[in-house]
Amino acid sequence: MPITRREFVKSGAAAAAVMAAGGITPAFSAGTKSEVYVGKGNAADILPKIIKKMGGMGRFVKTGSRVMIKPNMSFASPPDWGATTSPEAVRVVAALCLDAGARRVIVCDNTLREPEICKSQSGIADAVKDLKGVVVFTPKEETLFEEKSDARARALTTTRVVKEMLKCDCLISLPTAKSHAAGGLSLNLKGLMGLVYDRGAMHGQMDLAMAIAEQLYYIKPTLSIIDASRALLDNGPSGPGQVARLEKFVAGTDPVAVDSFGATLASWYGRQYEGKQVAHIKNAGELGLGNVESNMITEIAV
Amino acid sequence: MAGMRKLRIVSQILFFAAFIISYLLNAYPVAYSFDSEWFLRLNPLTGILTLLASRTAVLPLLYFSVGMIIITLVFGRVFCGFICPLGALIDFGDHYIFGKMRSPKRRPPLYLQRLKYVLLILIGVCAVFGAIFPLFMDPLSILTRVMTIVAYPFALVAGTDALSLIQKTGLESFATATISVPLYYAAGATVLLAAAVFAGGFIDKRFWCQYICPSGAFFGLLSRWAPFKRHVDSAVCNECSRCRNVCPTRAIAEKNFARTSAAECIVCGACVGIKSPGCGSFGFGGRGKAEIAGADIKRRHLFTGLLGGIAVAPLFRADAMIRHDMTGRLIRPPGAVPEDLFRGRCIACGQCMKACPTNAIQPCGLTDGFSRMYTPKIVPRIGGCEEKCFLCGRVCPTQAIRPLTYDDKSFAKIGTAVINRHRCLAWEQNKECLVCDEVCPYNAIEMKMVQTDKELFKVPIVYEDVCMGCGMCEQRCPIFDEAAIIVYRFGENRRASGPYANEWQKQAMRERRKKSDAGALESGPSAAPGEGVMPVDTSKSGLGNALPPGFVQ
Repeated sequence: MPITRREFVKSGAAAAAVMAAGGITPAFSAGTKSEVYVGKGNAADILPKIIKKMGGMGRFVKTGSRVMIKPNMSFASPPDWGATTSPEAVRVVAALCLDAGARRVIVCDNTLREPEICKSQSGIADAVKDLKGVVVFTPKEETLFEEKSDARARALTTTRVVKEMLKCDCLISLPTAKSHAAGGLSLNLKGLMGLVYDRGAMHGQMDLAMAIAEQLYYIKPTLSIIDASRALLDNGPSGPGQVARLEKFVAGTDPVAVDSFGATLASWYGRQYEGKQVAHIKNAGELGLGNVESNMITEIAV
Repeated sequence: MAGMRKLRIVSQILFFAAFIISYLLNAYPVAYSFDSEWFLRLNPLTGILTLLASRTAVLPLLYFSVGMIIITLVFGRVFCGFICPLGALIDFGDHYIFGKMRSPKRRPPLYLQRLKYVLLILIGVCAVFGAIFPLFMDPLSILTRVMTIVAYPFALVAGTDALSLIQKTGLESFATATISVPLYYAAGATVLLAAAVFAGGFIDKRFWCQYICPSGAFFGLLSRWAPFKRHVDSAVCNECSRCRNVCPTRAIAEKNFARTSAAECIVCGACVGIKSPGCGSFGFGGRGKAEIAGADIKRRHLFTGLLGGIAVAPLFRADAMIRHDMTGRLIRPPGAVPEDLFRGRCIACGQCMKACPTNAIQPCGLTDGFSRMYTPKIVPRIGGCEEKCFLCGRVCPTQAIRPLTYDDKSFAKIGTAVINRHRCLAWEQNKECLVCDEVCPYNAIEMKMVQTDKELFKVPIVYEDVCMGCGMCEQRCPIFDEAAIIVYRFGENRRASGPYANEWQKQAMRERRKKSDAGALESGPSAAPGEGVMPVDTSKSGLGNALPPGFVQ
């Protein structure tokens, strides 16, 4: 359904106003179709084009704001394994935020392996080290997280999320595209676990697929971009496994829709899946946190 | 030459600074580019005792030892006066902290100085019988140990408190700063050790150096014929005895001020020009005469030392042989030499504990046997051994842990993980968990569909031949207290010399890790562009027609 750029920018401004008011997920309202923007190429070329088509980074990042970027940085794997977000993509997105006037960009992940090694092996620390105003943050201590509860949640009734994230004006989720041996796939929703302190409880004390979806009550990405430049098709989340060089990026404001579309990008474990076949994505749709069905998702090629 | 005293103080400050800098540089990853263990090699007693006890020569260590022995043979106990950072700290404490609390007239009896020689002989005999008694033999390792286990973590804890105060101001550059604090067992015992070393300041100057330090005794024995010595110009000397009163180690004889005990003199220069210029001086051929005495020990003290050593050494051996480790949980760092040799090399300095980036290496406690106290062990529940790190062997001054290459380290197995199926979430409670599989850097754990007690479920299985015992699984297992997957010592691979990798292991590793020499990317460019359709053999994953976990119909 083609819409004019003006209408689009207007809706974006409205979304930004809602976001500034705080609280409600600006990306999704029931009944409206979600847009996902798909482009192919290398990060430096295609990502700025995708963002431009979405209305420019200024739609999400205001001058003087603090931005948090959540990549996959949890493993000490080299970038070509597909287990971590490519350093180029992190750099391009951070640079776009700075150009839009952000005063601080925090690249944040609560890593599973030792933080210094993850930062260097993934290449992400080196990629952003000469960008002024960009810092890599790997919170591990409990004091850096804040406890939050939500009455709507059934599984994840309470959790602890990164304090800095709550203080930021904008959150950009930037996961890599990979399979996950417990979660099915690890895209935006699963990646949000990197902003949570007590992940063990999510495995042990509740239904994991429901808990992953319910993270959206606490963590609300303003912009979600899947880095499908190298898709890890099996043996995720840490690899090594079979990697497909898709060289694709998928972006949108509705993280559930972006994930749902992202599930169709590759043959995971040798099979094709729809978004609603991934348990946590299906849950998110049923909870009304985003669009899952393909007839409610508009694909816009860039 | 009151300048000598100033020179000595400058030297102490410089060496102390060098020690602190070396210590701080002993950290991941900067320690790869910097030999931070060089400082610990300065004490020749470390080299001699480990040579005796291990019957092997660690050449980098021995070069330092020989160098320092030569310096001592020429200059006397300059190590104690000019170099030793513990001596510098003790001097500082003696003067600024304990100065007013001591009574200068009442010093312990002089014969107590013989104790350190007895202790030296005792630990020398232990070394001949193959055991290092690391608790008090080397001031450098004592200081490193105290810093690693107590001083540095405590300073960092204070730092985190300060940081959280600063962060309340909202300053941007501090908002995302974090300080990670390593914590160690035996902190309490180490505080007591430090107190014991420094508490002597209440009683006498350089208490440790005069009465206890076996390294000081060793230097003392070597200094007897040093050409660089103290001279007194008897034309100037008016026997005011100020030199004797100011000497921290009472090296100047009571009635004859020209007579110096070379074994006790730490070449500090406090006596130089104390009353008038030239009344005392140090040099190769100075003004006036130099009467030099050796260590004031008689044959009976030698025998006491020998007997003591012969009594204590078997105690050590017996303690090492007793099965303290009934559950097989004493895991040594990768690259540690076999236990007999380890006992003869490890000086319990704590360098490896400081270097370890995951805080995995901890000091052994009394429950591991007093002969092993303070030697390193890996406690996986606190930290796993990071696959890409191989620092511990690089920073060990005596090569009790050998310096390995990354390739070698990937085969230096330290133990094997065992799943306790009754505690495991997947096995026992049929809950979706695969954190051990996820975090295993060696791909030694696979999820398999298995009929558990309750249901058919996907559970983790350990491939023991691939498992290196790193303990990442145990660290990350979400079960509280005792993890559902635990690393035990069995299967450890420790070699005294030579490479670790063998062809059989390499082949098995290759197959299991599904990574051919061509690399994971091989399947990439040849795939149909944009589709990612891979000819994946699903029969290998044990799935059959079932969906992988996380997917629904």
